[in-house]
Amino acid sequence: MRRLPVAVLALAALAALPAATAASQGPGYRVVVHPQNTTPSLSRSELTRLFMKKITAWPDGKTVVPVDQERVAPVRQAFSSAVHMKDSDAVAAHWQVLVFSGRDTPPRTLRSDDEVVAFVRENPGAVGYVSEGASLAGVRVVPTSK
Amino acid sequence: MRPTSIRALLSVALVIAAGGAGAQESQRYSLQGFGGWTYAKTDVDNDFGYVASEDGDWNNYYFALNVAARPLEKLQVRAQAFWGQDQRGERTRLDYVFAQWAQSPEFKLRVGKAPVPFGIYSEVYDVGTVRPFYLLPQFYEGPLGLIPKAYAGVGVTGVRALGEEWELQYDAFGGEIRFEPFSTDLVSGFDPSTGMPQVRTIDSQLVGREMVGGRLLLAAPSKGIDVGGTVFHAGEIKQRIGDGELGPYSVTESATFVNARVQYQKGSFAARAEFFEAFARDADVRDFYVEGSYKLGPHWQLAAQYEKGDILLNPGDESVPAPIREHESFGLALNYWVSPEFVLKLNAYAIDGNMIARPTAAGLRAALGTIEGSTQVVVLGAQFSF
Repeated sequence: MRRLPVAVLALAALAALPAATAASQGPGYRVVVHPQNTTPSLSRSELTRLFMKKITAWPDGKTVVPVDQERVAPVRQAFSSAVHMKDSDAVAAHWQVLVFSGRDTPPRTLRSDDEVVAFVRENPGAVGYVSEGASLAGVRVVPTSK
Repeated sequence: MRPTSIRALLSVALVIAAGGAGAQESQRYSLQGFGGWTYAKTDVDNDFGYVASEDGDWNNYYFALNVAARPLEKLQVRAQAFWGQDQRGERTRLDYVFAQWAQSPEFKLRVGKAPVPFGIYSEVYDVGTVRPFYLLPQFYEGPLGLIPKAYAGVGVTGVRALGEEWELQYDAFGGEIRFEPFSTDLVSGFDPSTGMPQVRTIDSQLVGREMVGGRLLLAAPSKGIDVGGTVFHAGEIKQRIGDGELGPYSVTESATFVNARVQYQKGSFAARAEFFEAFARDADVRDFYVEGSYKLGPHWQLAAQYEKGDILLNPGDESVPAPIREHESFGLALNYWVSPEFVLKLNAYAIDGNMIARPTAAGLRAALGTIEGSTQVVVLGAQFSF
């Protein structure tokens, strides 16, 4: 009888483990900007508008230059789901409508985290997203909020 | 547009494409396109959607190239060239070409020949990878040719955030619109040996001048909802018969076009509905459809569509036989999306009425009572974009 509470506690701990692990995980991406960009943080709403080209200038007047990753990249899937609240196929379909209606063109697509970091490092108005484990030399990570 | 002009645009596009693997999506310019092919068949001698006949039509295909250039940060030049073949024969045209000055997302000025922002699909008329059915709902592209794809003139457009989730998109535009060419069958005489009427087909096009219009769209992109409408009025409607000069149009001197639409797209599910009405002196045309689609995983998609339209004549006017004034269809789609850029579509329709599904000399056949009122259609095709 004395062992039962221990077993229950152990089971409860095991049950809580996935939740605790999930809580410790990040969103699967990090938003990066040029080091000169002093934006303190970006909300989900601001991020989706930046990447949908509905916000085209930073507060200091620099033109926003968003860069996407390949549609099938896991980091783009994570970013699209969390920020646009759609899967990346749905976002691509949305851009098809904008392209063929002559309204706008999608952000440039880069092929890897390294390419995004290199692009953002070279372009003061750039904003991109990379995997959580990506090397971030020469760029600044912007905290994001809901 | 003359084929030589189309060839010139194609040459420019190919030079752009030859600029390197990344050239298609550079900051300065982009090159994209779309196309499709279909085999379509009806079960009676009514044609449908310019692609289906009783014998079955294989010769339906199209391709378009879309070029965007950004010579200045705020200046974009857009053009889209189209080549196609269907029951109307070979078609080449410049869908649109315009310059857009983007002062801000809230204010963009367009000058040139620009897409008419009417309904969900008029701006992406032939892009099959943004819709579940190979063909558009028929009020867009039926034999009546009621929705012009572009206007020649000046417009402004923009989008403004309304809080965190919602936004208001607007368009205002004015100029001239050219409707899709259409054919009219006229009784030109009677065969002396049989006594049967002889029919002559006349090709004509309507042109709307002194046109002004606007669109408002309330959208919550992250929720997948948009709702809105478009109205435009052409103060002067003229008709060109064959290659002749513009002249009066017997049905009306002016016309007003109204659209209301609502759309919901979230995850695998999409639903949309639209209402359309054209008001003219002697006749109104109205139509609505509802459509739903569901994706079963990344590849398979099911869709259903119901559409109903009619032509309303003035009281006592029976100049258009009743079967020609009505359309009701139920469509089903089974699609296989190889990727979001390439889809295979098997669509079927059951249609009542001959407003859209009709034979040659439909008016005469209807008057004689020899027209088939019900039509079954199968459409098997593929559409792609890049």
